[in-house]
Amino acid sequence: MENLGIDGKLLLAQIINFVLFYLIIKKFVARPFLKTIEEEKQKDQEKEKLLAQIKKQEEEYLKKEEQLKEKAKREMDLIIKQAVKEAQTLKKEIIEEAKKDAETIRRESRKEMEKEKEQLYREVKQKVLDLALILVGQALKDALSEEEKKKISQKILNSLDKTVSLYEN
Amino acid sequence: MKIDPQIKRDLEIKLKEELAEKKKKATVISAYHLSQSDIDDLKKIFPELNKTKIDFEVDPNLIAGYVIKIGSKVVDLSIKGKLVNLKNNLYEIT
Repeated sequence: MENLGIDGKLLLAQIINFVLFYLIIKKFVARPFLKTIEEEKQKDQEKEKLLAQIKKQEEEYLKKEEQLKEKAKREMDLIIKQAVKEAQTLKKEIIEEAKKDAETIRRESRKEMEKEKEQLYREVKQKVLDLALILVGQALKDALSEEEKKKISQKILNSLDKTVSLYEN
Repeated sequence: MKIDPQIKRDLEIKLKEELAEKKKKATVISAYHLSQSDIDDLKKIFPELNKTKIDFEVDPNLIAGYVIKIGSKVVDLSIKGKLVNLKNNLYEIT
């Protein structure tokens, strides 16, 4: 071995050194380092888990939000439809009411006009008869002489019963 | 409204007296001046005229005939009265 240039003792010492180095590194460096890496890895995994959870929750919330929006839209549409229906019903009722009122007013006006027409007719009739009376009276007054008036008065008396009882005015 | 009974009685007496006074007076309205024969004819038909004092009035608007008033009683025998009746009847029937 010495001819080959290998020192047995040195080799042994180096091997022992190496082993010691390995053991020391393993115990004081590699292990904590690996532990740290492991911990980091775990942390990362937990982070990813959390992230996935959060993402999942977010998706669920979005889904719920979408559902609520949909529900609200449906309810709004329903309310609008109901309001439109009620408005149309109200419109019909108002129109009917207005038509009835118009008919009543028309009827009342016609009645009023008929009444006024009747009244006017009565007044005209009265005036015509009054005028006729005046004209006939005047004509007779002018046309009859005193003698004729006396004859008429006598005829009136003769047409009565023998005696007449007076009546209350 | 309550009226005092004494006042009521006095009023009744007064009204009766006035009515009695009116009954004593008669009014004959004619379209022309009446002659005595016309008055006598009237008295024959209306005997009440003999018992009262008669006031004679002339109203040409009567045209012919007479209107006789004794107290509150009235007899309208004038042409004017008949024309008015005719007018009222025409009004009713048309």
